[in-house]
Amino acid sequence: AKPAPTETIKLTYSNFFPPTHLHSILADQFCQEVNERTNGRVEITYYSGGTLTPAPKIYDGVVSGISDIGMSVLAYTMGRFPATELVDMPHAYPNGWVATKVANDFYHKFKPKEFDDVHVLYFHAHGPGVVFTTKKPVRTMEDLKGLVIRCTGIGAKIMEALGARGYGASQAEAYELMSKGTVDGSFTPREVLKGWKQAEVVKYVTGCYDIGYTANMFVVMNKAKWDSLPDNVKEVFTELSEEWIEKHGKVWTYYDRAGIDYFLTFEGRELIELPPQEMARWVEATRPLVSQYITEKTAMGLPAAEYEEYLMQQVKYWTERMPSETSCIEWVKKELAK
Amino acid sequence: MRDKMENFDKFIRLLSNWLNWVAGVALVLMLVLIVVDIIAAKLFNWPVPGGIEVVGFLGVVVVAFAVAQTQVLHGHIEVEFLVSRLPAKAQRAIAGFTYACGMVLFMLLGWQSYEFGRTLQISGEVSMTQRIPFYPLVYGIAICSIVVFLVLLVQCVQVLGKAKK
Amino acid sequence: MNPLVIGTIGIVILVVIFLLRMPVGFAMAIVGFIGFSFLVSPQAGLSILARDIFHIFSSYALTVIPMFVFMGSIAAASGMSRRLYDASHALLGRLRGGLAMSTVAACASFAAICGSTTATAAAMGRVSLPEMKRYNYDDSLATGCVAAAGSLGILIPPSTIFIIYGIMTEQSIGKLFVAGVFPGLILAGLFIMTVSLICIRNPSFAPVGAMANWRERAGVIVGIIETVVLFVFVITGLFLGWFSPTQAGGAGAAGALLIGLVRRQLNWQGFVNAIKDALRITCMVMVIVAGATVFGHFIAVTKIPLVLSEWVVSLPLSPMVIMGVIVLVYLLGGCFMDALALITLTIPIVYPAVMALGLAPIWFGVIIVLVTEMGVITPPVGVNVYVINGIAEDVPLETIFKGIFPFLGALVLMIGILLAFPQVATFLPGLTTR
Ligand code: NA
Ligand code: NA
Repeated sequence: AKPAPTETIKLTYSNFFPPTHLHSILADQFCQEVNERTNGRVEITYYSGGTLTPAPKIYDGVVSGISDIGMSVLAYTMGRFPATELVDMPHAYPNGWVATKVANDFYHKFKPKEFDDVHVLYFHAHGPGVVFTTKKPVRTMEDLKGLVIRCTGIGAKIMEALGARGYGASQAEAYELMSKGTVDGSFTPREVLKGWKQAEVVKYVTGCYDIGYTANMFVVMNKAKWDSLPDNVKEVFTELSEEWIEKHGKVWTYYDRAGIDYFLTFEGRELIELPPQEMARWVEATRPLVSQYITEKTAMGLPAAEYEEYLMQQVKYWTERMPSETSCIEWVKKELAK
Repeated sequence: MRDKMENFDKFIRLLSNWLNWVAGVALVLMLVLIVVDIIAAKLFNWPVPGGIEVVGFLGVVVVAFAVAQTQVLHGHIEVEFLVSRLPAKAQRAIAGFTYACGMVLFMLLGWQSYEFGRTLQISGEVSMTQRIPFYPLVYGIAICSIVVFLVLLVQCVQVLGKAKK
Repeated sequence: MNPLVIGTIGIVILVVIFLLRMPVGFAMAIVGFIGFSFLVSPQAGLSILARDIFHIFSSYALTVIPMFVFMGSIAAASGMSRRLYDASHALLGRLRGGLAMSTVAACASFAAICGSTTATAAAMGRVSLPEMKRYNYDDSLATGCVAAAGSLGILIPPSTIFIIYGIMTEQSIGKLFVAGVFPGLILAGLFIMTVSLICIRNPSFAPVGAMANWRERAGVIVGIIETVVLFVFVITGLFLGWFSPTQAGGAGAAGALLIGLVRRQLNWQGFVNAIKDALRITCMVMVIVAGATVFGHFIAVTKIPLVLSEWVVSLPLSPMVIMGVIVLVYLLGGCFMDALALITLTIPIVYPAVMALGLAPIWFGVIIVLVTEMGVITPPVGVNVYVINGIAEDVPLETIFKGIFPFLGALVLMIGILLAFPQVATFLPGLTTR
């Protein structure tokens, strides 16, 4: 083998999460750990809060070399990931840890060619989306009728299926939209109650876990950059990615609990759980979304039915093995609390 | 030669004016869409699907298609106080330089917007909620950039031409 | 080469080509693009150019600018703003600088519905500048007061800066909003006092009108009833959440159009001119915002903001002196880059240090917003000044910067007041329960 060149490899990493968010802190630690395990060969400059590339431009930014590594949400660039879209759809994800595991399995099993223009490091995905409302409690599907609910991507389709009107806007705008009453609520993971301060304006949270949709997030690297890395550095990245999947999963599970705990510290807030018969109606109403996906993508030549079967199987597999909420909270407090 | 230049100048002004009309139509459409959306949402509880996305996309047309005409009118902000105190000859040389820089900028922007548009088209990226393909807007920016390039070219030639007289 | 050195060279080149009369938006895009290419790669620089420009042009949040500017253009074309200022003049004409004072007050009310300084300055400038000109107000006073009062957009809630600050520092956004109200009102008051002081020193800046009698007053008031109704409708709609800011602009523009048509004061030609006018101003503002974004990305990769803030927090000085240095650094940063990006880059470093000094988080947020307000009106990247310059085309840029100067004094005084009496910002949020 040829002798290792001594010069350091400099990389950039662009993330849309604000710097104080735990997923941003994890990404920052990832960069430091790469540096450590390569004995300083690789130096990564980390940009959070979309300061280098805004959330919807991060994937394309990695492809075109603005940053070497990027983390963002797949649904922010709709249409670019026709196969992986399925992961976001209602699959009754019990928490973010399971969704994260399933998202990674899906990629490794099918290697969809939509990711051919990058090197995938790993994925992570949030816990089940719930309904926030600011004035009117939602106890039945009928209560949703006519409400204007902020959502994006697959959330918009679910809201439409349930009779609400979707209003597409980013998480950054949600606080202002709800506080002014431009929208009646939001369809989103519980995490944002704390992470994005929305508990200040949300009065009711309706859990609808049996339809639990998620938003899959990628961590990818520029393909040419990846190909130029020496093998031992590649190994470090692969090894760390595997470890970080677990960490992000635990953080998501932690955040959903933390969001609700924070929400309940405010006065006059209510957490609504749907009774089983009502929950079943919501599941029934949203079922066509997945069958529609299968029809559409099969027509595109993708083995969509096989995707769905595998996903359902993996949700079940990981749900049986998931760590308890308490253990995730303790882990976060021990490992990530300042 | 001079005649040709004058005809070309006229043509470019006409072109800028046409693009500006496109921008104007987009501005009025934006207004109409917003008003319809308000009425539909408040009175009939039915906001126009994708209203927000389309308003943002119309914003691209409003701005990009007006850049050329704004340049024809010298409407882009400049810091004048230093240059306006220099002798006429130096002023022309400086103007030639800044026009050249501007031309390079818009040539690159035109080229890169075309490339970006192609990337979006090939990858099949669409808008977040209504799944509207928006690559044509990026091609629009590319076309407008080329027109701005031509406006700057004409203005540059005119400024330098004065020097020869 | 060291990124810090490249960043510094970039800033120097930017200032030089500004002075060479290169359009400001183009200059920022060029320097930003070249600098980014140099530090990252040419391919990355080229990519960021096209992507930043598309991102800014297609931003829904920024469509508030074309809508309110359009509303202003229609209001001007149909004589509404003229009647409004005639009424103001009939009521306040005896007061020296009365029109400039009411303009400040109008900016403050607009700030209460709009979270951006650029949009506030563009919308209010479009209405007020031609009118103050008509009453022979001095150019530096008229432009300076709108550019400065436009910056109230981020202090008086809602405010995009407070939202970002709240999320990054885990503070209540509601409390931050409430904390901005009182300093916002005081600052508006200080701006009004500044107008008054300028007029005492230079009586010729603001000619005094004749005393209007009661009949005349009643006459002008009747003439503005529908205009006032429209403004009240738009502002109430925003407060009650009927509209998003863009929708409010749309409702206002449609209302102005309707009033112009009903009063038969807006013909086809007037409408076409209003469109052309709105396009020119919108395009000019958005090109500057897009250029500033490209340049800001270049400054971000130079790491200048990070290095500066790390340096500040390591200073072995007393808390108040460090606060003073922080204010200076933010002021300097605001001279070269967009406020939002500056805050996102620096807060993670500065904030923990400020907390370690035992200072109040909400209060610090208000200070940051005040300093950011200064940034939008100081050269060379003083976005509000450029916006005003584009609206008042015949006023040279240096006249506006001259006009800004006394108002900068008012901002410094306000920061001084907050440093000395933190209660000004904190007593209101203290009263509210979450
Ligand atoms: Na405001
Ligand atoms: Na500035």
